[in-house]
Amino acid sequence: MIKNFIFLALGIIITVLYVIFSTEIYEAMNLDPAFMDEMYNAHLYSTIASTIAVTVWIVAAVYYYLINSVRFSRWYHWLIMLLLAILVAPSISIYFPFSEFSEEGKDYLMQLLQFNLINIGITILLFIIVSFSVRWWSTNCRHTPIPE
Amino acid sequence: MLKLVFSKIVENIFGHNKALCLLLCIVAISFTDCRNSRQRDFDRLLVSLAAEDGVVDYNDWQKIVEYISSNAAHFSQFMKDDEIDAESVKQYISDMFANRRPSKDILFDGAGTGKEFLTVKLYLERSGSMIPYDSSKGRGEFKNSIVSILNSLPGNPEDNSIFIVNDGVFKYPKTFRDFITDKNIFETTKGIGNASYTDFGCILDSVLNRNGADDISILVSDMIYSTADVGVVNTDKIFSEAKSTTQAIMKNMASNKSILFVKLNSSFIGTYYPYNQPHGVQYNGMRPYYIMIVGDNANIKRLASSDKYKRFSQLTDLKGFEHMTLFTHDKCYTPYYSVLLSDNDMIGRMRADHKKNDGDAIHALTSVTPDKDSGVLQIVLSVNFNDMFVEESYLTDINNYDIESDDPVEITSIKAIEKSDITQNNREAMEKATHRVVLRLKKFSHDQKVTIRLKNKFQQWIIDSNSDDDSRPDAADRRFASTTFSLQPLMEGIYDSYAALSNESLDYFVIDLFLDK
Repeated sequence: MIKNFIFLALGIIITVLYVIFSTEIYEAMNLDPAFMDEMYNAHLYSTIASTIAVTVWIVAAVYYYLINSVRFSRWYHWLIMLLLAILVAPSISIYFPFSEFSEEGKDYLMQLLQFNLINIGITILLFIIVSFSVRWWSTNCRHTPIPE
Repeated sequence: MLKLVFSKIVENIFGHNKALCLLLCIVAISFTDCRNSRQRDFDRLLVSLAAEDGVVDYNDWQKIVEYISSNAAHFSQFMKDDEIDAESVKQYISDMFANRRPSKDILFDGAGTGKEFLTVKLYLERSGSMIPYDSSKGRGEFKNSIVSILNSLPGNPEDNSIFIVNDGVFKYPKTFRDFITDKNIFETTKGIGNASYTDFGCILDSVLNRNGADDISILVSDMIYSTADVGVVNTDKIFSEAKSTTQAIMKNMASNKSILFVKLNSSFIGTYYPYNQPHGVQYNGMRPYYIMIVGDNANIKRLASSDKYKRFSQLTDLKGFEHMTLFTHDKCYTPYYSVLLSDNDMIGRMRADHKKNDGDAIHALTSVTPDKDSGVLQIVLSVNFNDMFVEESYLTDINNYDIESDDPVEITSIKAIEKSDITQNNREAMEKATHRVVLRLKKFSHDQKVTIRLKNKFQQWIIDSNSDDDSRPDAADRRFASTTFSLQPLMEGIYDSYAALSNESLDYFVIDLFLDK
């Protein structure tokens, strides 16, 4: 039981750290300096990190507690939810900078696509972490994606 | 399968009456987004107004006020008693641009004041020793300089005011325009106050204490301290009194006010009153006089950097200009500077550390390697010394700089940039700057920060312009033509008031370089 709470706490801590240090994390990826400056000036790093974090936690919660079905508890069902998170989180996260830059007449499409690949990677990683944080209290999906 | 998923979700949401929670969440997110969108629009407005030139002027301010007023409900942090709190808005703008990339110091040029231009209060000393500066037989430098200054002021001249000072402060009886066209200023003001005594305590108190947030006070004076008691001929007593007078007045003002002190020369034909000869002596020759410009730290900075005050700030162009110095507690300047990665004087190898640099300017270097044979590292900087009330000779004197780093470092030269210095590789950094500064480290052992300070010293020209005895205008050394009795203690009183505010040294600016191996 304690182990489960430790996993939950770790998931929360990692998510919070990701949001807090989002600027440092994204800037370590060595993207185009001008693009990074624009992202920084528009405070988009933290907005995007928060969006990804909230999306990932909601998708995981929906899977483990709302759906919570025996007939939807195989590893590939979990993968469908991961794909859903990958579809939703990076799409929302590309929307904010794209609309921001479009309004200012700036073209950073290639940089945004690069940035989106990073976000897909972060979403996958975070979804795995969050799944291992919250799955323990699911009555029907606690063994997904990997049995206990 | 999908049907199952949806039915499960719907069942859970509606079955457990969570619809309200969901609705509240949506409302909360929409509300937050709406608030953020106003904030974002406001930030965008600020960027469009000030990102390019770094200036928020009177017209920009009107647009900012208009935006806040029409969205007042979303900007409660800027409101105070249902009015826009200009200081908090300015603080927000300054912080926002300081945290942007590249960071920018914002100049508020007539912003938040309700007035587009600063109000100028001119204080003209009318003591007996001032009258010969405007003698009809003279060359007219004195009047010429004052009129040049007044004519270079932007805005409506009648918004400004003129005072005559000697044993008190008196309003000039005519208009500003009349003053400029006045053929004989001192004749017109004859009979105002007591011309035989200059009450510096009273004058400086007026110049400093009646200087409002939107004001610039200009004192034109010979800066000769005189005592109320005509019987006092003990110079030590006079000097001590002069120093303590300025110190006492400056005590509470030094942290907010800056003083630009300018020395000029003019022909002087008439009676001069030495400290020990109350009836005066005739003198025909050159004499120094001084202009003291006083204002809030931000206003003095504004004078140097605002395009509207460009003409006014060209003090070196005034007829008879000799020297100037700025007394200020503030590290008032933040010049542009950048390391040049391509220069003939560069010794060793280095690369710009793009992660640490702010915008195009290079302040941080990585892969720094000194010369293999000599172990010497020589770094060349381009620095912009424009828009400063600091003389070129002071800026280019390496003795006026303090330089700190772990390994021994020195400035070897500071020179104005010449056309021949500009190459294709350094053009961008050179065109933004006015001078090249060469730094030399005899060794470079580890990662370190190099800090360069331009010290705000009590300047030598004030000491050279001081006289302990003005009783012999005809002395062979001709020092009388360029010196002023009791100038040094008077100005020391001012300087010491600034120095006393801090344990650290007084600096005009500080620039940092970060060197990594």
